[in-house]
Amino acid sequence: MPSLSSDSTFKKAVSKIQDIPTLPTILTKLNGIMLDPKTTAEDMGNLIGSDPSVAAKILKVVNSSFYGFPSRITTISHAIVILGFNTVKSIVLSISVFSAFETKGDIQGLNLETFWEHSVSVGACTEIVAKHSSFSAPEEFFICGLLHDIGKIILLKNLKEEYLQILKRVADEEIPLRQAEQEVLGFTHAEVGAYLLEEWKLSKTFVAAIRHHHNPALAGDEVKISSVVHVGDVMARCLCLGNGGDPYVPPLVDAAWDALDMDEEMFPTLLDECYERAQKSRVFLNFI
Amino acid sequence: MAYLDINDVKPDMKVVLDVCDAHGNVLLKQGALLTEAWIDRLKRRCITHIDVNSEVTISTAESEENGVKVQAEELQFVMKKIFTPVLAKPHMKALARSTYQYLKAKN
Repeated sequence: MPSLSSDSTFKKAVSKIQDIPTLPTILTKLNGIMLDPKTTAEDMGNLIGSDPSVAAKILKVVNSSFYGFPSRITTISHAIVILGFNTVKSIVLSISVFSAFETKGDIQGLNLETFWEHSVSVGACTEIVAKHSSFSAPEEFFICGLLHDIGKIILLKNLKEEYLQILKRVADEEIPLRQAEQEVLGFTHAEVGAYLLEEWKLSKTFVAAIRHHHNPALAGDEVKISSVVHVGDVMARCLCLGNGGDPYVPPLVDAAWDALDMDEEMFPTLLDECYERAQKSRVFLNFI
Repeated sequence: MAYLDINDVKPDMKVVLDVCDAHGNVLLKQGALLTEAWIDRLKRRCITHIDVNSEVTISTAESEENGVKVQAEELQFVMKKIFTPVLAKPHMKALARSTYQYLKAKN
């Protein structure tokens, strides 16, 4: 499938976007050292430790009930040994995101605190859905859930007039936000979010998961991870965890249902685990 | 505050002084809310009068029941609002039902 980044409508709109947040420096460096197979937990720990604020936040997260380790983890290297490189990188990215974007007040009527509460909750729900779908390291997918709607913030900040029209159509015609975005802009926040992740040089899997979280059928080889984010989003919306700006629960699409081999009997367990995980994930909201 | 005959007290009145038996044993502590069961028990222990706040506070049970009722109504309203446009889609009715039951139990 051709990249939407090459689509002319999308390109034209993206050219209007002045304010694409840059990837925090520490993540650029992390990406660099993680490409080297000789990198050790100590190397990564030293790099993260060079930013005491980030290091302190990571230790706060890994020592919270979100991970629930029986004893206190006091060094980043120890956290890396226990959680693995990718999960620690995902935590660094998660806590850095809040400083790259606005987190307080409103943009065009979208309350940012409830927006981030929704995003963090989708991160938590995505992890649970990944766990039920037999992914070996489900915690690595928290970041996909956290960033799934990030395109909305970019659009709200950069295409204000168009987004006002979109929000008006959502309210007047009672249609889903993504439908109004498609009709007004010719693309959705999902593509814009994917564009940001591409700019940030995040993995192609994550880019695809964000791009297709409303329609995993289009994700090709990445249908399973896109489905995980899709179902994570649906679960968080059902449970009214925060508010991503869309008034309705997105319908579960057949492609996700099939890719994850879902069953209606899973719902009570899934809802319970998602809700509990989302409560624990609130530790991330301390950083907004 | 009133010193009332045990036959005149009602559930949900607040005990304002410890209720003691003839031997000075505290049967019911100051601040407790009376219930039917406690009134019967005090009668059986030959308590004839107690100091209570004579204004009947809103029944805890009743208020909880009302609270739950309001919450259940609010929950139904919210569930209808967020699910109605998608109920016809596959599996969404089952998901709506499971979500409602889960959140109702949670509340």
